[in-house]
Amino acid sequence: MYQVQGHLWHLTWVLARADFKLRYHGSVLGFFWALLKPLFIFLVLNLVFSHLFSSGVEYYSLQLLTGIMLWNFFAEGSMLGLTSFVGKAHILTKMSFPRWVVVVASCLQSLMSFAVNFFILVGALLLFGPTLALWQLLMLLAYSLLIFAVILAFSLLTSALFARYRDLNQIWEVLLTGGFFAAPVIYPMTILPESLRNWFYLNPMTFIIEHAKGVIFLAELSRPDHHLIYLGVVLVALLLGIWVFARFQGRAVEYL
Amino acid sequence: MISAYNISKSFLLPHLRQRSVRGGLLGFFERTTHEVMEVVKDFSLEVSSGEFVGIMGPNGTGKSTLLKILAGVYQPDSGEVKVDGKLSAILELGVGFHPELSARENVELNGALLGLSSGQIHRQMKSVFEFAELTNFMDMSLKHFSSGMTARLAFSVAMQVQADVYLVDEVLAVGDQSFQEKCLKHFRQLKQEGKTVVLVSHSQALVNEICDRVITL
Repeated sequence: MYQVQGHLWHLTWVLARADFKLRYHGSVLGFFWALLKPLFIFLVLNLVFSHLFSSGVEYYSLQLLTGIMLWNFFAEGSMLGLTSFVGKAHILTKMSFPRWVVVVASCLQSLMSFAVNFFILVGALLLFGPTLALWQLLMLLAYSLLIFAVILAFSLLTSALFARYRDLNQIWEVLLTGGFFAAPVIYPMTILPESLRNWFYLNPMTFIIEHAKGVIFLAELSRPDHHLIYLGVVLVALLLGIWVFARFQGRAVEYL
Repeated sequence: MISAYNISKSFLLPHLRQRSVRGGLLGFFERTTHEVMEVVKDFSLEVSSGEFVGIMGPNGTGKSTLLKILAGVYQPDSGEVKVDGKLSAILELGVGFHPELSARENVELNGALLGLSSGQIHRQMKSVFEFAELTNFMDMSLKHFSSGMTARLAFSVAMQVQADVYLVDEVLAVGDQSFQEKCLKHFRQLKQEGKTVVLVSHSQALVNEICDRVITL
């Protein structure tokens, strides 16, 4: 029925676009909500924490904004991906197209929401931040795409399992709330004691946010060896995700 | 065109199912009791090219489950299904329809789900709405459509699908007299074109008229 791959990409795109549209449908401000939500969080946190950290950190507000935008992409994308399979129950039980389409579509939808935020962030950095070279902006883009890969891997790993274990989203919500504070979003990595620091890298976003901030605000790309390891871990997670998804997708439909 | 050998499919009764991580973990320690419902039992079916087969039977005898297995939505516990040629399963009309989207967007979405390419959908867009007699409502959101209008639109999209084998479930149960006649006309045309159809229906009259063979479950 779906031999032609082109159809599948078309279907993925149509699903992502329809969901993106529906998500902000009917609200007066439309997709600006995609933007206003992280901006509002930023304003509140900035009000509270800029006094606390402003002494030692240059561009604290912009660092906070960068962290929030990247974290928000991960948090919303992973949650959407986790629920993508179950959320499309009405379609999956009636149609037999390859099931990865709904997962990739949800990740694509998150990417579309993030794209708006990304341009705002770059605009704010160029206006108020340090002088930026092109390579710094390209690295910021690369880190964003890396987050996309993490979201995709996570979604593939969990979305089919969520059909069976319906409290995964509750667990993930708690982990996300904790994860926000266990990543260097509000604070710089340097305030953490050396002995504890390595534990924070268990949070997949710690590495990305720390280095994205380093590239933008210190203009330095440190530890290329760690970057390679991180890429390797993401690649393994992706392959594992594909394997888990392929293994559980068939039966998962029966739990919908 | 379709060969199915010794298909069996059982479901665990859903209210006893453990659906949480806690339940799954506990499941290692204590065996949960569940009732097994065998919905399809050792079923074999052979449909040759150009044949129209009707599947009838009372509720709960596994007609829809069988069709879902043939369509590849469910995997059988045992047995084998083979389908030659392009398969189109219309288990429900208007899958993916969303009330908040416009009629045009819904046609795009539903068409993509049915396996139409973007080129095909855009080429057929006008004729879809003409056939459904809804040309003036293309950009209206679907929530303002009556159920009959929605059904007409859904059927018009489903008609655009070009396949060799069609699996159809109770599609004709919806719609008024003239809509049902339209559907019937479409099936007759499929028959003339030598397509293969497996049709689940409760309508004896319909099955008698267009099916070469009837299987009662």
